[in-house]
Amino acid sequence: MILTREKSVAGYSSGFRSGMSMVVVTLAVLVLAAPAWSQEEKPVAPAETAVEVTQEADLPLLWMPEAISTYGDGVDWLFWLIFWITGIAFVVVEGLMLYFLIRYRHREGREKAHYTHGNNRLEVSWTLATVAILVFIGVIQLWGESGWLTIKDGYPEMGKGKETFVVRVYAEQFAWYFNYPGKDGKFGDQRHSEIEKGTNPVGLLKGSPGAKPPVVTDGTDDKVLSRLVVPEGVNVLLQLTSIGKYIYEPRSYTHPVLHSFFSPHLRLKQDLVPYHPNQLWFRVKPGNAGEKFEIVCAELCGEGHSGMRADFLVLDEAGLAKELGYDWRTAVPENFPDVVHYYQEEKEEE
Amino acid sequence: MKVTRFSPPGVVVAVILTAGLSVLSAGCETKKQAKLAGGSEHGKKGSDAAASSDPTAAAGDSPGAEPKEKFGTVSLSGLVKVTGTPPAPVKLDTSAKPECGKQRQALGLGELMGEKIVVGAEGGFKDCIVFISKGLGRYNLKDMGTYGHPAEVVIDQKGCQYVPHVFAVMQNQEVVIKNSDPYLHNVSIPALSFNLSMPDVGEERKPKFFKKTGPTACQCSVHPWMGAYAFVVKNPFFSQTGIDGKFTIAKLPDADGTYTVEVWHERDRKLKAPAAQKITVKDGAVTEGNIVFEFTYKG
Repeated sequence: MILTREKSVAGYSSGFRSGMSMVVVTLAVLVLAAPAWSQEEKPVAPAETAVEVTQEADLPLLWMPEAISTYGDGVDWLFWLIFWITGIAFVVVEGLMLYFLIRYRHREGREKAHYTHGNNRLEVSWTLATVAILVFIGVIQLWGESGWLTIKDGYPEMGKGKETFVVRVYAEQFAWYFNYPGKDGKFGDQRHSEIEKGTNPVGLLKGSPGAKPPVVTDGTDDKVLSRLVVPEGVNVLLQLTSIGKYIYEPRSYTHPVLHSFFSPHLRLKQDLVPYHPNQLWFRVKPGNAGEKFEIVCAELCGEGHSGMRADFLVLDEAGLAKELGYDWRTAVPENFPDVVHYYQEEKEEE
Repeated sequence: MKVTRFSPPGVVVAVILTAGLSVLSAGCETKKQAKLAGGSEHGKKGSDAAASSDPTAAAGDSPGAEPKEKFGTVSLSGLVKVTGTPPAPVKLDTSAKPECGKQRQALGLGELMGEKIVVGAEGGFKDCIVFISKGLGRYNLKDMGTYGHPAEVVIDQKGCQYVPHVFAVMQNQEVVIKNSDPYLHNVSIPALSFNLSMPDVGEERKPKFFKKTGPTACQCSVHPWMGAYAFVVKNPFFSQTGIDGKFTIAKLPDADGTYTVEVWHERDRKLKAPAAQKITVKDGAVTEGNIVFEFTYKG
């Protein structure tokens, strides 16, 4: 197809005229359709709505917040290292590109550019240099107090006599629940068929559970809160599980979905994969007691994803005892119970 | 190949056509507007029914109109109660959503308590639906309409709570979903693949919304403790119990007959439901008198 330019008698090219025509048509449609758009129904306000609810105006985070975990500073150090390496490379490469764009722009009489094979030595050099930098970054972050292996695999021990604060975290669409073991130091067993909206949101077995073997642990004294409370200066170990929604009447169940536990202040993020419970650990630096932080979901999980958040409080011993109703140091669980998934519960009931 | 460009006359024609369509659409009222006060459809069906002099001639399907089927004066009363020791309602944790606490305080609604099992002082069981399930086969149920019940059922979201928590709805009733809270709620009804986001105060009307009989659960995606049940019935002979557990099904046909009465509650695994009961209408009265349904709590 060959495009030919035609000039009208008026002196404007037909291409220009067609472009202007499209603009005029578009503007006309927009302006004349405005009355149709404005026919929106106004909401009907009931007489007794008394409050103008304003969200607490948290300032948007413009940069990373203060790191409160013991490995948070190390994560930030790694961030800055990568930032400067890539930043310098970026400035050099983009600066050169900009220079070349201007320096060798089209000019009348200038010889047209021709494509060459390149320079092998140069290309090998800068490829090897990049590889070396990447390997360096990958290796140095593995070990140390803030190393990847420490954060992702260096879980503290739990059990009697251990100073580890242990919590089970359940994520559903679209809420976080934090299960504390209670005075008996044992986590109650969880079954989807025990879920009661509002009163037993994670489905802890309580009293006479009625579940068949395996052995069931009573969850009556467990504490389930919609916020995470932890002590400062102590290892905290979390087990993360994604649960589905269960309705007793009529019997129905929705599968668990992906969520992600994200705390910006802890520099910690971990996906919750359906049917694959996993763990996290952290230790809050001393000096943060009494502060409130935030946990948000960082993996799109449905229409309520943006509202899926929870408060995260660091408390002193007295505050923690008041919140939980027991002394956590005397009730450190020996282990996490096995997670029973919905399809396994059906087999239990057979 | 030459490319054909737009011609000035063509542009003018396009603009005129677009303008004409826009003006026409701006002048038409939407269906919703037609039904609201001031709209052309407001009160149309009601006024038609009132104008008719024959009470049985109007279509039974129209809300508020007299049905074709004649109804009687027989009344069935009774009680639904619970034996055993069900747990007392517990306070729900709404701290994850601070707007709820503020709204409830502003509206003077008090603490939000669980509503699943609510038992009165005398053992009466709240929020049970008692309904006639069998025996009405000789009547044309479609012509019964919503006789004796309002044309519409309203489910409201107020103080992060569904009001009412349980409601009975007929298949041909209009459902009005309201949001009285000035913040986001999301009405999710998985059984109907229904998902309605309501970011502010407002309402949505759904005519003949529920079709399948039996219980349908509603929940809010934003506030996880919020839940409600719609119990869908196909005839107008039903009643919902209050805190005293009492129910009354009115206007049963005067003709002799035998009916099966059932009771439904959202319950849980520990609550054993009572069996259906048969009642007999003879000489204009229920021969069994007041009937009692008893749920048993094992736990």
